[in-house]
Amino acid sequence: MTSALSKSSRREFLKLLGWSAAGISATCLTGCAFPPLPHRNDPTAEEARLWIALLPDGTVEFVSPRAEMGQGISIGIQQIIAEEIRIDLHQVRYIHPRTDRFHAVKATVGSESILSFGPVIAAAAAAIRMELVTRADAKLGRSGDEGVIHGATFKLPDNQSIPLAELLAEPLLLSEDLIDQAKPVSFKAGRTGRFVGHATSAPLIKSLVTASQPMFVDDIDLSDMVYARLLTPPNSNAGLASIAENKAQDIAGYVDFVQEDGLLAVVATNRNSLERVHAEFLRTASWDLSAQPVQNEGLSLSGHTEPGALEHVLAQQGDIGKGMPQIDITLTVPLAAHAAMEPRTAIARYQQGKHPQLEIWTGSQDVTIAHRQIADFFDLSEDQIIIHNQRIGGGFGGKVFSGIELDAARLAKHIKKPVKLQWTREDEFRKTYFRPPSQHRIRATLNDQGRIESWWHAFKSGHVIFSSAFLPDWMQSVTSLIADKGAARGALLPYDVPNQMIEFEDVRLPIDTGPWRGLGAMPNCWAIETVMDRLAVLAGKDPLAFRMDQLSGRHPRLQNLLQRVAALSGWNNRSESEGTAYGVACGIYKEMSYSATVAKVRKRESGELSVVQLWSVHDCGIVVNPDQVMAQVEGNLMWCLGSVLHEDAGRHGNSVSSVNFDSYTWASYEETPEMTIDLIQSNEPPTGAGETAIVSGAAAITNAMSLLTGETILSLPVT
Amino acid sequence: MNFNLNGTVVTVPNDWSDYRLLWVLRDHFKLTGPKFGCGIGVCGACCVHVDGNVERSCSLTVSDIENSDLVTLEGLAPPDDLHPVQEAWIKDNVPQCGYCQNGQVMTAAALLAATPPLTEAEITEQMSGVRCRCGTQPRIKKALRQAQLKMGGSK
Repeated sequence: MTSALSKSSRREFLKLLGWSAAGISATCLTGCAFPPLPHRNDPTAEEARLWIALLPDGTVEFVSPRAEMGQGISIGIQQIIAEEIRIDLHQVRYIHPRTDRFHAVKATVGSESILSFGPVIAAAAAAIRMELVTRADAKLGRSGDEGVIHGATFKLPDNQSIPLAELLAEPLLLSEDLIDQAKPVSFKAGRTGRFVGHATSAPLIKSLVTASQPMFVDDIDLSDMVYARLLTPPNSNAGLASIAENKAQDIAGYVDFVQEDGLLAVVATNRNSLERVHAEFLRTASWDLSAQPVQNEGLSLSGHTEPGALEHVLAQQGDIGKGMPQIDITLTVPLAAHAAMEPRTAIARYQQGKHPQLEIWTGSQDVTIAHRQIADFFDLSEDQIIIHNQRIGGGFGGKVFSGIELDAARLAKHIKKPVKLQWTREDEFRKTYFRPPSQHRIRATLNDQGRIESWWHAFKSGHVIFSSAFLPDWMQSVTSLIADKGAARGALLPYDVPNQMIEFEDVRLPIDTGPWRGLGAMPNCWAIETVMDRLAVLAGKDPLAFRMDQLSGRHPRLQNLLQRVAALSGWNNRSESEGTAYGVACGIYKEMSYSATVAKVRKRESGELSVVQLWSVHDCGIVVNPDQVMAQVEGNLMWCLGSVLHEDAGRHGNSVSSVNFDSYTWASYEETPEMTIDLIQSNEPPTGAGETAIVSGAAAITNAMSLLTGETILSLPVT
Repeated sequence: MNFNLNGTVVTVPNDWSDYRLLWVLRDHFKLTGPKFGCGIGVCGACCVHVDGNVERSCSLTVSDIENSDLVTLEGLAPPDDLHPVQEAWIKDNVPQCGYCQNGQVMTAAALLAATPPLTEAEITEQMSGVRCRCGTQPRIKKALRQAQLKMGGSK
């Protein structure tokens, strides 16, 4: 699709989306295809007031700008609103993102829901309460801030009550002044709230374990709905050459075969028929497998023997030539899949007419970008399209942009019936992006006192934020002038090292790569923390004490975690043997959330290494719901375990080799270690929990494994 | 062809004999408990009980279950008297995204009810065949132990 935006409007457009702040400018060549870009601006309290509505029946409706995908944000936001308005939790109704109820918002990524949305939601909710109290005061000729919403009334301590309908007769419009004056309490340091800070469980848990109501897109059933599947080529470069005569039309339930520009799909009345029709078309399809040369993955660092050769420099100070080279190692991280349990699914209903209306149900981390893309494609105004998001069956950065909503909409328009389009598991592996593979070379030296004298970290990675899945070639070339902050995440050292250089290059690979839980933080922190252990051995120091020393008074919160995890795991009294070893690692996520983990690994008689226990301490500032944060830490540690033990999507030419869950595995129930997790009770502002522990888990495990095998683990997964 | 679905005998056309059970349950009977995950019987999201045994409905055809008793998550227990596994799952707040939990709950419920009781190793092995990507395994372990105690199984 080629956008008709002029150059100057492109510039405005980028500004509007917040991309100009990221350094993306509109210097594209005339006529180049301009893709829809994700919205990047942080939310404001002004926007937040559109998300919350107090209804006369005493419920608060919250149309969430943040998608629920298991990270527990729905309950977190309910807690904040209940706290501010002083109502019961069950009176707050969480509504999944829907595009007719809010303006463009940032995708649900980056563990930012509490950090950047929490405070503005709290402010808007506090303003609602303030306005309500003001109105009650005016009616009763009093002044005070007491009173609670009780059913459909506003009740005062002296038992006077006013029907809410009366107080809300005038629409409750929150002015900017009002929001400025509101004094939200949710994130006040040292305050114990009635809801904030409590381990409340999500009310939907019961529905999830009883299937008592539709939760996911695939649970939605529209009348007269038909089912669709894509005919996905065997590899991403292939196009359809021809389809031989086939018997698909004789299959009961056959509806249609759709071949439109870039869209190739089959449609049937139910999924048993659909599978047969799909198989018949695949059987008779010939693909134009243009012999694309297998592209070099371009990740090898072997050609870069000297510092300063890579595109982007993240840190440079002192002289990295200092000291004797003590360690010079290269570490490798493979492609990994998101492998969310729910395959992408979207339902579309297209009502033709003079003023067409399009309704879409999906489970996406970014309905805003899909909305924009669809409006562009059909040349509809954005108010003619409503996207209803549903609970997402796992996102992990993978469900930001897939194009499935547009495909479903095109099919619905073509078939003139509501269409449910679902990717097969094979589509999930063929049509999406992956955690990029990366290679890391780290050369470090120690001084006479056993402190790190110099540190050179050079790495190459596939793109993350400037993903080839979102950006066309030309735009990625423009962005190569700017460092891909996603690939760079976690590469800066928390430690005090006088001479250092950290440089990298983002490489366009033949396989689409993009955001995956924690972005670059898992690979970068794993590489750093692996080398830290090697240096500790060289320095003849305990690895945990070595890290403490090396922090030299920096990052007190990280030091605190190291001390806590030492105490929690009995680090100083650990008994290691030929068969048992302990490893430690720590890190800072996005310069604001802290994690430290100790792993205990045992060598079984068979020689197999098994992770028996993990102790992990976590500091993400003020916590809204400790139980949900714990769950996120557990999940991240399981991801770390998976990356260490199994995860590798493999590569076959210009495609990934895994096509389903038989060939792509991660950590299982059997491999699950005991976990002891400690959350720091903090008075610091909230940061983020959804990805933080990914910085420390993997290296803690491999550091213990390296002790047992006697060799440093240099590539993941450990085979 | 007949089978018993959550306590009621149902009939489907004979020419559905080789239809995949998962799609019959979801698209025809509109049951949302069993989920589509992998389509090859590997992940367990589509688990159902067939005559008390846990099976993967994506890998069964209608003829495989003719005249059998089929129970889906919807029929595991009445809403006001949940199964001990469901109760333990709620108490320990097990699910994150929740998509796989049908498989976790149905598998755990069948394993804990097996006679003679299964060994811990057998339970572990079978639970390992049900995938969860969010990483709820530590909580599944805890909740399963609780449910086991309540059901008076081994240990």
